[in-house]
Amino acid sequence: MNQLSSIIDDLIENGEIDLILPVIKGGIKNQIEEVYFPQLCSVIENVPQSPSANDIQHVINAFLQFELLLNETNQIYIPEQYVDKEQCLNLKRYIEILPSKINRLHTIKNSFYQKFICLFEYYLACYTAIQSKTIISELIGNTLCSFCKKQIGLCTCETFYRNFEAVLNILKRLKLLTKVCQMSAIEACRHRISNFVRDTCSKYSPNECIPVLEQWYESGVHCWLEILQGYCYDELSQSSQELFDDHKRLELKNYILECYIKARSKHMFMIIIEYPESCKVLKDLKQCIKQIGHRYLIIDTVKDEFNKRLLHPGAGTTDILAAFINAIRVLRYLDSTGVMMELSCNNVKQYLARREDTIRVIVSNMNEHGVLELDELTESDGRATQMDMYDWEPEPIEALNAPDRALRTPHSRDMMSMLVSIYGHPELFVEEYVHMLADRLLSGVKVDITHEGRYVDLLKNRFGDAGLQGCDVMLKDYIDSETINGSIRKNLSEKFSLELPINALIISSQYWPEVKFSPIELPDELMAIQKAYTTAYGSIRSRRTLHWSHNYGQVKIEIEIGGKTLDFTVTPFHAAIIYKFQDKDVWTISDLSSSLKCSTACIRKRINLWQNCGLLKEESKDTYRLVEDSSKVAQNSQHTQNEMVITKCGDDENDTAENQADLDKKEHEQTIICNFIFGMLRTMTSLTLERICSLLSIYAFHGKNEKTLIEVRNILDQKVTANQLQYKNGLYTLPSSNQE
Amino acid sequence: MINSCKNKMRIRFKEFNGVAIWKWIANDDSCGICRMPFDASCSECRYPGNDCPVLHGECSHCYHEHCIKKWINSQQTNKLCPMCRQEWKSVP
Amino acid sequence: MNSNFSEQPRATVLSSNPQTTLGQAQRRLMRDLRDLNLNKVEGICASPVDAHNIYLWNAIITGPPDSIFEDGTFQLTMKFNENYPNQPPEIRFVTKMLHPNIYTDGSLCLDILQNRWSASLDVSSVLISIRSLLIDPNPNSPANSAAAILYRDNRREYERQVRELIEESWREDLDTDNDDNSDDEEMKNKTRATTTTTTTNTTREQENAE
Repeated sequence: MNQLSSIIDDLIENGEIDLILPVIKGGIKNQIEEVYFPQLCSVIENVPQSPSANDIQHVINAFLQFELLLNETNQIYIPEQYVDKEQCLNLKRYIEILPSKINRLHTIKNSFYQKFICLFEYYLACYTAIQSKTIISELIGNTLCSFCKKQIGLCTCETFYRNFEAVLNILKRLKLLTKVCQMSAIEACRHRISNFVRDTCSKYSPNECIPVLEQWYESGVHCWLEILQGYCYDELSQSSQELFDDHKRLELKNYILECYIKARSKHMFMIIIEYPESCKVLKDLKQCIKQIGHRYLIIDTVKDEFNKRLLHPGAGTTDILAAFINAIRVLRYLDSTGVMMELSCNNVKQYLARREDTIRVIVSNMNEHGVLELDELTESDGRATQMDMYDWEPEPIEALNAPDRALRTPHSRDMMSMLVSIYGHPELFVEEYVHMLADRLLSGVKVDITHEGRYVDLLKNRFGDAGLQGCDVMLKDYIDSETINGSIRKNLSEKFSLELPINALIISSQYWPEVKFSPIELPDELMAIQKAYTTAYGSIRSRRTLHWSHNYGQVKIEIEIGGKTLDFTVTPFHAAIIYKFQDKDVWTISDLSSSLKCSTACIRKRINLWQNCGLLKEESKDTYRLVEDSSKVAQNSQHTQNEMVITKCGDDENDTAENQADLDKKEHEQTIICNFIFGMLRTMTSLTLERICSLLSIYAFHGKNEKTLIEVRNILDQKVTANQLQYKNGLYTLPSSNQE
Repeated sequence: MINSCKNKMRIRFKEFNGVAIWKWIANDDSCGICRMPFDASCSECRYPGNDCPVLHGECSHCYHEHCIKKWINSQQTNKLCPMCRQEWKSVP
Repeated sequence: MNSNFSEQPRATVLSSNPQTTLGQAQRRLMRDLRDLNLNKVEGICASPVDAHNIYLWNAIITGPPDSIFEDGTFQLTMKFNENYPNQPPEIRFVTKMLHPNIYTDGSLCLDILQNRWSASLDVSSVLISIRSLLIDPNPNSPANSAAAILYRDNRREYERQVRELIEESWREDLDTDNDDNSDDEEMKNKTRATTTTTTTNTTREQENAE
């Protein structure tokens, strides 16, 4: 450049400048536009997403160099008379138009400003780290600088930050500052906020965070924006504009809350489980939700976490209920209208309603006051719930998706009502209870009647007599039956040998849930004793008679096959089916149906039991053969002897309804399940039944397709029988040939 | 063991716990007075069966004992079966 | 017609009372109500006036087709007591009637509602009997002698007057329909007050006893 200056001087002296001036002008212009400027741009463009101190230094150097070049070019002296207004080599003007030039270069425009976001965030991080050393060390609980990660005494952030002022000055001289600030500063702030909140709240902590975050914002981000505003003052004063309007600042502040909800929603499960220890965190969340909404973030994670962690066979009903109760408390606190709770907990409710022992656990946790002991176990200090007792809030927008409003009645703060709401309505809960009681009494398990009576009384206190009257009669039937059994046994023992003891549960049909009668002809021996019992009953209770249901009740049978003796307890229906295989090894479904005088659907449904325990094999479609090879039966007889007690077949009673399509669908489903299990065993070698179940429910079969423990075991046992699986010491494995 | 070629399997019943519903032997399902089924109690009773028996009349009509007695007692003059208006005489 | 009649009884309110506190009469009346709703009988309909008092019913009988009473709708009140079904209900036409066995105040002279009452009768069978009484009067036990004489001696005039009454009742219906609602309500309350003084007292006692 200096050389160029002296050349120009010579030319002027020789009066030859006119000839050469256009060339010089063009040369310099080209030099700037095609070399200097692209160099600067490429340096800026090459800044990585999270720049290091070196990268930043590189950019600053590029800026400094660019500025230097411009200045040098500027120093070339061109006498006034040669500078005409239009064509002059006015470099000052060039600087004036630089921002609009950048804007016109579309290819670099976006990445140009984008890079400033990274740059600015880098310096903002320095700045906030300097400004909020004490707050952050309190929040995170250590004494490292939040940015450079060095001990606070050794922190180098301030040195870094000084460079920033240089950058701002250069940008200002290049007239780029305002534009760059407007395009990049807010975004840089957002990045910083999001990263900062994520870093500080990544681990669950029961402490309040929002006040600290807000302090961090005020002392750091906010001040930094003020500084930028100060630098831009000159440029802005001309257009009398604010660099950032209030709206933008408010958005930023709310963005902290949004990030906070995002970070904490990951901990919702912990927050729920830990409640009430987590109530400080909840206070934060409530404030966030109140200000900016975003409830769906919480709703979605609660749903997901519950599905993943609790709603599978591996979790105990008591645990699920306790978590459910806590979830209700927590979500009610966050949103007193109950909409959040309803949306988040709906699938928990559905799951609990499907789980067999839910009612039992709820009812057995009731005590004299009608309050759940569970409730007391998880009792909160009441602080949280009282706070929002009196301030009414409108329902949040998410209410539009709420499936039902049962949970949101004024009484729903009462935990018992909440649990009852699992079944949709108190009347349905009561109905469900009555069914459960009936199932228990019919199951043949010894029932403690005084105990059950106490529960019935507790329920009556709470729900009134109306729906529970039947329970009294059911319990009385149970007691009366025992008395009648006693006297009839005495009566019968005179006529029959005592080899086959008979007992009956004699029920008042009007007061029990519907009793099913699927007709079937029992083996003669059973028929005879039943008939004798009925006659004896008629003599004790005049003008009354008995109708027997073979769908319920238990027959204890001893099966002798292949030199082994196996014990089973099954319904009379099941007994009648296997009894037929004594006379003939092979039966078709239709032959069985005509021989037993019952429907084919009934048989199809029940013959599975014998197939599953290896006594029968489906030779071809609807044709069953007795399995003579005793080793196969013996293989899982351990199971059957101890566990295979089929006490009722009341649930699956739509005997006639089942058609071929349904069966096919079931078979298809079973194939999928088996393939899935084989896959799991290939990777995990051996698994327990429970583990398989919970894996299935997590990965494969949610919702209504979910399999119960027994269903899965039946499938597994079939595979064991077919030698496709091995079962040893409670573990299922693939046979060694299959393992590869 | 002897006829194992014929009977590969032998089944022995060891115990039978049955479930049965009881029913009144009557010519109708429900009481003509209270309209409740006989297998349920009359509207005054809590438990069916022994506590709330069914009475047969000579005219072959049946009622809950409590229902027919109330009806008969409410009649000053002739005690008639509500269904057939014949004189009510209960079969012991 | 009065809106009360088309309204379905609020069964939920009725059944939410715990059954044990219901007397024999109340249970039987609920049963009657259920039977009426289950087996609809042509030409009759009835339901309790309101959900809290099952002893007072409103009923409507439509005139049997192909008779002079065709197209007429006749409103009745039925008043039961706690001895039902061992005692008959008190039944009274609200609609103005001209009939040999119906007193001018609307009450009936019908043997099954008096000495030939039976505990096996229910709301539906009583209303069916009353409906058939309309076309088949019993001139031997006249309750309205003027009507009985007219029926016996000048059947055409009797029929003409009956038709006149039916048409008059249509006009009244129209009038009440056009009437202000509050008037309607007031009228209803008045009739209820006069007819239920005795029964409401007894039910209130029962309610207190609960």
